[in-house]
Amino acid sequence: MKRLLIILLIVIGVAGLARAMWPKGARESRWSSDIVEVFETLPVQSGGRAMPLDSFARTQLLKLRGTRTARNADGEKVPAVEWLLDVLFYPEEAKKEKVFVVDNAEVVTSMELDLAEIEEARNAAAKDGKIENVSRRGRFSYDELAPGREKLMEEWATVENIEEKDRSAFHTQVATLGRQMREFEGLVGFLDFARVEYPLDGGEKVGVMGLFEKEDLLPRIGADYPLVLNGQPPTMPASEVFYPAARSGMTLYLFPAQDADDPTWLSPGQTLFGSVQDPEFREWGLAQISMLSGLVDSKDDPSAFLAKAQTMHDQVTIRAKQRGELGKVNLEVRLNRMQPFYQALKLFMYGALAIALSWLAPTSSFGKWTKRATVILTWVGLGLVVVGIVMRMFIRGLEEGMGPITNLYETIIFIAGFMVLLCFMTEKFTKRGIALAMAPVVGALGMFVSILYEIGDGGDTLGRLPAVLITNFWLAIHVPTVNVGYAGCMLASLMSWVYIVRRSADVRRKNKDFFQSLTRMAYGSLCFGMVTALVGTVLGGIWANDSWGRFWGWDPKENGALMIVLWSLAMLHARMGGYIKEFGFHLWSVVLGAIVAFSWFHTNVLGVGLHSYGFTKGVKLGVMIFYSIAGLVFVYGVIVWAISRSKDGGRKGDRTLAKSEAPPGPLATSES
Amino acid sequence: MAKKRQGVVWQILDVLSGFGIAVVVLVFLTLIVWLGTLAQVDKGLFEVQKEYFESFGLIYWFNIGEMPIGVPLPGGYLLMLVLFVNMTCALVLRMRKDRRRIGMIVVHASVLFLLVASWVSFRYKTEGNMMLWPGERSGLYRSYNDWSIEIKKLGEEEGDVLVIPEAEFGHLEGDKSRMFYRDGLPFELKVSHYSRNASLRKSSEDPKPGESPVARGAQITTEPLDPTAEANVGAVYVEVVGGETESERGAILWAGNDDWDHEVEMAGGGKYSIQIVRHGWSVPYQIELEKFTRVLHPNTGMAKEFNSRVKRISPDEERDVLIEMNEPLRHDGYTFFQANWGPQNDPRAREFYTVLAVVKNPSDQWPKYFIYIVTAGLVIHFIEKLVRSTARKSVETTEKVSS
Repeated sequence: MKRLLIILLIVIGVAGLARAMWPKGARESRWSSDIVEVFETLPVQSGGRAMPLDSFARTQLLKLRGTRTARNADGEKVPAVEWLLDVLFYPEEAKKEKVFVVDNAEVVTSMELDLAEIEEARNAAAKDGKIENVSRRGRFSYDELAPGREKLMEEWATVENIEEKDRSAFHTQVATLGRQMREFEGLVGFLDFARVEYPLDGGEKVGVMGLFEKEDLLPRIGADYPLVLNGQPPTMPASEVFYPAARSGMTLYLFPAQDADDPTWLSPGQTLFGSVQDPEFREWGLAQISMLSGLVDSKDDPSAFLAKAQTMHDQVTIRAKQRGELGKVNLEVRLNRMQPFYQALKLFMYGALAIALSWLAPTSSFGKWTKRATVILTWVGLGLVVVGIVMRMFIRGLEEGMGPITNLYETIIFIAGFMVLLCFMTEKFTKRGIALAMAPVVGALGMFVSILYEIGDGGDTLGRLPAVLITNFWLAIHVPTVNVGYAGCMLASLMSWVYIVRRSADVRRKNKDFFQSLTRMAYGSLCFGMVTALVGTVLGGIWANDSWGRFWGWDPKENGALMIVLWSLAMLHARMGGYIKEFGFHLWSVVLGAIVAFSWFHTNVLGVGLHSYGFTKGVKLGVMIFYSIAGLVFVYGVIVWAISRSKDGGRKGDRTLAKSEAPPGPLATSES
Repeated sequence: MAKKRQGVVWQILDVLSGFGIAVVVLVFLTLIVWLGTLAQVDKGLFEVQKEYFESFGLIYWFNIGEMPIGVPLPGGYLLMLVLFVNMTCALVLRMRKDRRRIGMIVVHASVLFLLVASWVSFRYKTEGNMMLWPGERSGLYRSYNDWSIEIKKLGEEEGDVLVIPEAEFGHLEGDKSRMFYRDGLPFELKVSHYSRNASLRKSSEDPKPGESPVARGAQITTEPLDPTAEANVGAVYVEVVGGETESERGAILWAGNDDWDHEVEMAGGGKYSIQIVRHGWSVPYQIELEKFTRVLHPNTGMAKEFNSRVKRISPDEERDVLIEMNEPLRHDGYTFFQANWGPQNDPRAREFYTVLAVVKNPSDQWPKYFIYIVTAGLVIHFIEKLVRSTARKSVETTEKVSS
């Protein structure tokens, strides 16, 4: 039976590997690899920082589709930057792509969309003649949603007056969809200024560069600005087109300012406004605008398009280099290509598979080799996590303190990585294979959760920091320390899960050594986590005291960390006082895991306090799922404990309160 | 194990220093902190702090179906007090004082020290804020939460005459009243119908029992407390008693608008203003804002840096100081932090005011000392463990070799 299983798993593994290595058919794309590379590495500014266009494209895709890659009509994956080029240069086609996910049927009803009409249009356009049924939940294109846009925006305005914590699923979906449509409009309309025609006085129509050739008109267009600002009709017909087009070109900041000491980058919209208002700025501004205008004009001629794109790339790159921003942008390009956390996830999963295989024949040479494979795969995975963290620190740079953790996303990566490291350290001392088996599993879980969080958050995970979080010694050491505390306590709790599950298969505790060893590991991890959580929490207080004069403010996040310390201390003292023994220790440890989850994630979505980062999609649900699993493990543990006691005839020893003054050390070797 | 001492006192001390009390207190503290954290969502920090963390006890209400159930729970203050007693007794009586336990003794002593620091801060700390426009000067900071009634003499001898802190009138809700007076003040002040958060409603009818008297065609309406304590707007009814005056004797003081300050002109001379304001504390010097600077991350509304260049002015010294995020001004027991600025919602604003958080806390730096002590304790403990473990291993190896 075991051999059969081994063969089966090997076959599955080889098949998976072969599939991964099999050359894939070339995907049809209108953008050549050269063009894609030029735009992938093009420096831009968004969210207050310089980044490659690829990062901007990925963030936009996450916001709109909830994925890091798009899909074409044939269902093939399309890199983010190619998708963005489609949206920018072929907006009418992009508006037909089913980008928007609507998962609340009530929203479609409130938008008064005609589903029959949408269905008819889709079936008429279907190339393969496949009949499609359109329901009120699913993916929709911009054009399909457009008839209900006004209704949606009205509803969104109402929702904005409701506090986030009081919003229903319908409210959340309305706000999300409203925001997504706005952002999409910002992208599809971004180059409108280069596409539209500007009517002149005599009925003549010109393009954007033609407009700026009429130098006598520009002061008059400039003079119309106050009228437009106050919602009054402008005096010039060209102004009627110019201002909406210029305003749509604000989504992305493409041009580093003339002065290298000025950290601001300009959007095409700002450049157009400046060119109209300021004659001195005009020459430089128009040079920038002409690059984009040239790209729009040559979009159907790949070689001309590439040449113009390369020229723009070179110019922007030189100026980004002068400002010292290019190095970070290039590093981010490497980070995006490397995807260390995603690669680490794969390695951890292979590591977990290898350790599972080793259990089939643990004493054979096969078992030994698979164990070695687990060690290697997991170490490499951990190495990738470290490399990813370090790269992110350098991208953020010295001016922002270069801490490894600045947001909730980074805590997941850091804590998962640290738990893997703790597992290896534990394995080094215990050599029982338990911690080794846990290492790839916790690593994979951590990377998986980080990906889910990134999708739910849909924002730039390398975003700029507010002033209070920049450069403070105590903050720089408080955050990693307290997160190391989380890692230690969470690992102790997960070890207790393993204990309870294994104990259910061995209620009489025949494999005494195994359970004692697991208990010592959980105990050590708890002590380590408790001490670092305590020190980290106090360091946080010292930072808060240095920053705004309040050592302790009863903020939910502070309280969460305090709860971890208090509960850990209660566990240690209860054990020292003899109030809990081995099984009791693990049951309390399961509760500790729930407390860590509360402090780590739940406090961020309560909507109060200084650590309330908004309501990232899925975080609350994820926490509730964790609580439920922990609750089930706890109840299951109590049942197993009760059964084990009944099998032992309810030994008196379990109830005896051993008054021990002994310092914390390895737990009692027996439950009696 | 140490030999047990006999007698009731020793038995009590034995219980007080025991692990049992420590465990119960720690579990209850965890519970209280958790419930208090969740309660902040509806009640706000200020109220929760008072009810859960700074109290001796509370009744926690929850519903089973439609039926409300109240569970009495110990408050944070009581729990920390018991924890302090427990740890002190354990340190003095229970923990063995030998070389092996030096580290743990230091760690426990440092936690006691932290509890003392918290108590000193709770008891003696004052904190508030000072808002300054460029060129403005002040030596006063005001509380975020607490109200006081201030009676000031106007005119040539301008200055504070009487400040009544909220602790003295906070209980005077409805028809409950109290008289306040001070030597030199030509009248007494009867205070009633206090409301921590109130609005005014137009009224011309006679008040019903419990309602405030009508003044200037309005009555006080008590509003539910805002979870953000700073957003509450206090109101109180006052009546000038005694002295000769032709001014209106009864008045509503409302913090929502300066128009609701009350002025009294005495027949014998002397004009007084009575107002309800956030409680203020004086600083023994003046702070003048010279310039406020804010730097935003490019093309965002997020502050990258903001700082206030101020002048600290004492009778014998004037000094320029730059207060920035994480770099406060500490002088003479007071600390000034860069806290906020404004107006933030006006994109056309060219001049900005600064808000400095001002704190006076005798135990300001004590948590830092705690970190140094607890780290020392942990280092001693782990070194001692390491030495013992190495020694044990060496003995085991020797035994193995000899056998």
